[in-house]
Amino acid sequence: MGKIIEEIYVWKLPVRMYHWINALCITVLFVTGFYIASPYLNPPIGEAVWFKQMSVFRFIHFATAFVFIANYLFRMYWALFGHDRYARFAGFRPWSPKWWGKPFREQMASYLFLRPDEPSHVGHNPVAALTYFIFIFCGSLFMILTGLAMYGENNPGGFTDTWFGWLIPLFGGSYNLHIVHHSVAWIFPFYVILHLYAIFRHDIVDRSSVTSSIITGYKHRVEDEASLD
Amino acid sequence: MDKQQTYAEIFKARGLSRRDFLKFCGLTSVSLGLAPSLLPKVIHAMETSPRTPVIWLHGLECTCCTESFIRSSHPVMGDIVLNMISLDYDDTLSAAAGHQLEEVRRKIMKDYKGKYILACEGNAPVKDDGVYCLVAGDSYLNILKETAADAAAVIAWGACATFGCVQNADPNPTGAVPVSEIITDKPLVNVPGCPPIAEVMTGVITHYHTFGTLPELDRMKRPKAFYGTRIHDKCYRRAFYDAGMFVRDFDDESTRKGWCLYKMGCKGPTTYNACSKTEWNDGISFPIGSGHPCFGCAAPGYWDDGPFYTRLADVSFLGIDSNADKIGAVAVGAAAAGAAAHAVVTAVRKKKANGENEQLEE
Amino acid sequence: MAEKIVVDPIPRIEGHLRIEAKLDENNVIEDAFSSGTMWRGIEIILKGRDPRDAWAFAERICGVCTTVHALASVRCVEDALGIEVPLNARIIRNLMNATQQTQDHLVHFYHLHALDWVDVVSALKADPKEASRIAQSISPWPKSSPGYFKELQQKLVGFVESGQLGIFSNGYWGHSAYKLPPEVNLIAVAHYLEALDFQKEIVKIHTVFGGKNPHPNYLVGGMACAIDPNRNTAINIEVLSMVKKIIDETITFIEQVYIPDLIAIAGFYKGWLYGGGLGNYLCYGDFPENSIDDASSLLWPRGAILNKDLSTIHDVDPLDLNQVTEEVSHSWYTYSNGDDKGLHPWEGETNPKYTGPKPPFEFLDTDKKYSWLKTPRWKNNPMEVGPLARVLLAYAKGDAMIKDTVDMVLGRLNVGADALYSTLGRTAARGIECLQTAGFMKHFYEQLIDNVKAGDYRTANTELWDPSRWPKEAKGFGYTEAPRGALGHWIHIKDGKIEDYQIVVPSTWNASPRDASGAVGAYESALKGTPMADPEKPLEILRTVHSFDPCLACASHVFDMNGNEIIKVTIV
Repeated sequence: MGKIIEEIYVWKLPVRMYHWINALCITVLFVTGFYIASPYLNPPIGEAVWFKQMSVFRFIHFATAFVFIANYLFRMYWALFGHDRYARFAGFRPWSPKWWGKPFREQMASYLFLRPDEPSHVGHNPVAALTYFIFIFCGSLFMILTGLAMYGENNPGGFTDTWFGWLIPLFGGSYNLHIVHHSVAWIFPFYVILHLYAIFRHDIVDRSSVTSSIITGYKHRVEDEASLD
Repeated sequence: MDKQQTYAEIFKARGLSRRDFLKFCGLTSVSLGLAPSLLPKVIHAMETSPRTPVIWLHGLECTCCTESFIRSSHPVMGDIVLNMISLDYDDTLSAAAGHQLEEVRRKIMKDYKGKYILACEGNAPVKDDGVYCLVAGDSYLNILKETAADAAAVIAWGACATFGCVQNADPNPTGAVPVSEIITDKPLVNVPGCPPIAEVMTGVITHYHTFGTLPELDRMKRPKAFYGTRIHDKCYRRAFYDAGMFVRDFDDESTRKGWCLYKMGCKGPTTYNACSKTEWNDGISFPIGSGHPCFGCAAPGYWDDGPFYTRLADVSFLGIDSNADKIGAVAVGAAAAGAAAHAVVTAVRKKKANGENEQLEE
Repeated sequence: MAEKIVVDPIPRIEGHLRIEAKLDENNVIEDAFSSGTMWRGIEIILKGRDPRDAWAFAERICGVCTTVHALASVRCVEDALGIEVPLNARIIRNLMNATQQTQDHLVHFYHLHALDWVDVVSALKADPKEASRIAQSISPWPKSSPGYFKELQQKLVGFVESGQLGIFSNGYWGHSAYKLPPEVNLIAVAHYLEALDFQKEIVKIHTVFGGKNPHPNYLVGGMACAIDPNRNTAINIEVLSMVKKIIDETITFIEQVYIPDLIAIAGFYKGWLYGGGLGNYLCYGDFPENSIDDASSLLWPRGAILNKDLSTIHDVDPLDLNQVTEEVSHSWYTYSNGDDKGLHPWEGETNPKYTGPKPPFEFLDTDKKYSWLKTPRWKNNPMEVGPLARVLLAYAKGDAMIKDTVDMVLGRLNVGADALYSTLGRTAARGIECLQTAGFMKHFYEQLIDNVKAGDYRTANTELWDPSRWPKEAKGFGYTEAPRGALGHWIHIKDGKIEDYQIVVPSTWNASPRDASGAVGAYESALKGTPMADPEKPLEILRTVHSFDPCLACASHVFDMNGNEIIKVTIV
């Protein structure tokens, strides 16, 4: 290990909080969601009203979903108004050809072993940013909207149904919507594996303490790394 | 046919008392699920409206809707055809045949322009100029368009007319499409189900005639009065669902205990219909009540949501029949394998690089 | 110059049927052409699906004879996979089938067929007292007072005077072929309405065991309904008592209303004995008292009769590739090895190719292809299927109940057995059979009670429910006698999915167009030689066609067994 020559405070507390709440929510939503889709536990013993297994799972799923939504909205707020240089949207411009330029290509080339060294980024590298956008920003938004549309079915004509129920016919019907919600849920374990691998790998390759940074907030520069400038 | 009688006049003409008439109004409002306070309105409507002519067309269908309709217990079919509507054209029941029957249709279209109801059972194939359904030497597609032109409103009976039903299922060899895709400029009521419940069908007709308007519809143009909530929300087995007590095998104690059929593929949680409330054939039972999972016959596209006895539909993905969980598991497995492979390459590279460094240092 | 008339649509049937008839100078039908004018392609849709779901698709072929396709379908899947259903399931299926037969025949007689014999408007002239006297002389049915008929007549007068005749609009009222006196017409109208009210009661038996009607639910391996006399969450004695009550009422209605009406009406038409037709009859049989594979246990026997020869009963084997075949020489399909060659369902193919006139059109080109129905043949013979076939076969086999009832009806009408080979004979056979199936309902109910009493509550066999336990490939045949006749489903399962599915339906037998040799189908044969009183009002055609109880959605399901691409239809 090289010597730490600089500590950079990258992830502010709200970002770290968001990350861990989000991770917890996704795990809980995935596990409870799969129980709801296919109840895998043995039935409880006794009268049907004694222990409401499905109700409990559904309650946890819905309650967690609302925490997940609030957390998501907070992150959007923070990205737009947080004055946080490493957590804002400002730098993310996938519609601009320039954004797909040198930094993105260098990072991609590195991941594909087309160049020996590792480009250094303090915040999200461009490839990571794109991945987060697709899976976390879009994926979560999709799950939130479809989830709310289905939640609204519990109370037709109610608030949630009025605001989100219009999604149901777009998918052809309630059953299709359930299937789509269920299918898209699989992007999260897919994403988590890639995410974890990329994090651990960066720790080993460029020794920037990216793993611990999401707990402490600090990334490190070590002496044998190329300059950040 | 310039003389358009009201219900009250009809009752009088038949030698029935005002008391009979009021009783009829009362029963009608009960069957519509109306509050007693609305009864005077029902009576007024029945006293002042003429019997509405109904043209009932049959396209690609199996006639289960008509069969269901004649099973209505309140009001009963005899009452409907004699006292409530004037079912002037219906191939399944009409006495007239051939061109005499077609003559009736044209006459109603002319005499009651803009006032008759078009009830559609079945749907029209649009492929190949509609030759897969020919009526009176013309395509059903043409007849449907022609008859809809001057209708006051269109009622789409059953899964065929509303969402397409079995002939519309993949690969839809005849190009059968729902009525709503052909008739786009008329008020339309979708009454899905294969078939719809009898009392739901007659309820829609009576509602229109009583209030002079179509019943309030939801996003898919279904009357909220019957399709407002899911079967699941009113299911008497819901307690078992909530408790997590599920039938796992049709030959099992749990079936006799009446546990929830969710794990056997029940589509009650995603199907909007009145089965669990109104039930079938005068409230005798409904599919779940007789131990069979609902397969969602009132839901759009349910034929392609199979297999029926599982909650998770099969999908064809890259030419392979599979389902979301299998595809998801493969994708996650692939991600893990890819990460592992990437890690190996990274390690080899790093070792090589380190080796080179060491060599340089030496 | 021969006149050609067209009756399209034919009302009071299921589906879309067109009849074109050539008349000679005396207005006698010289030649007739029966054309099915709808096609849905359900078997194409069935391909690749889960065989356990097939019954639901197949059931949607027809909502009038609902249940029969589901029954044939579960039987063919069970046959392919070697599943034996529990005793209760077999009894319940028999009970549901008997329920269907009874209700269907009743509805057919009163609501689809009666108006061919009964003049509704004539009933306005009836004397209610005389109607009451006649009604009471033929039946102990209690609704027969002069007041009852008077009230009904008043209602009818009000209805007709309203000017909105509804379903009775533009009927052939006053047609000279109507022979009933006004009083009998009035009785028939009364029973039309009573039967309309009562038919919905019979099907409640389907709702008990299948959850709904039309289209009750079936299950591969048995029935999904649970039975347990000691639970309130399964079928118990309260529900069974309702079933019993319905059965008792049904038997009463058939005995006291249907059969007396049938005999009374037939009495006025026994001089009109046209419509005999082919004289060839085919039955697969139904109502197994033992395993479905044991054809000897069928309450309705299997067999064929040729040329009205009741002394020889031919064996029928639906699996024999040379017995049941279908050809398409006059149907809007093509076969790869020639349209004239009959193919057994196992090797059949169907490539739809419409070559008829572009709609709208006046006449079909009946020299060429003219129907969406194929032409099924048994050992190259056109066959009639349905109640008359079944009654004749049972009669020939010496079934005591059928023999007694047939002899009773013939005796009351004072006609010989030859009268059975007619439109009226077909209609009478349906009534006789209905009386029998109502009796079956009671028989099966008692069987069910005995079995439950013995402690057997099992309704489903799920040992082979999971497709992982299925053979890689399997073929099966399922059959039933639908109200309209012999129905067969042939399935080929491969890798847990439907590879091929083929259905040969009763109305395809009866309504088929002619074959390559020019031999006509049952409808076409029955119509030939019938004199028409007024070609403008083809009541006689309706009468004979209705006596077969056509079901066209069934008949025109035909499909492509090999899954060939549907060929683009060319309009000529």
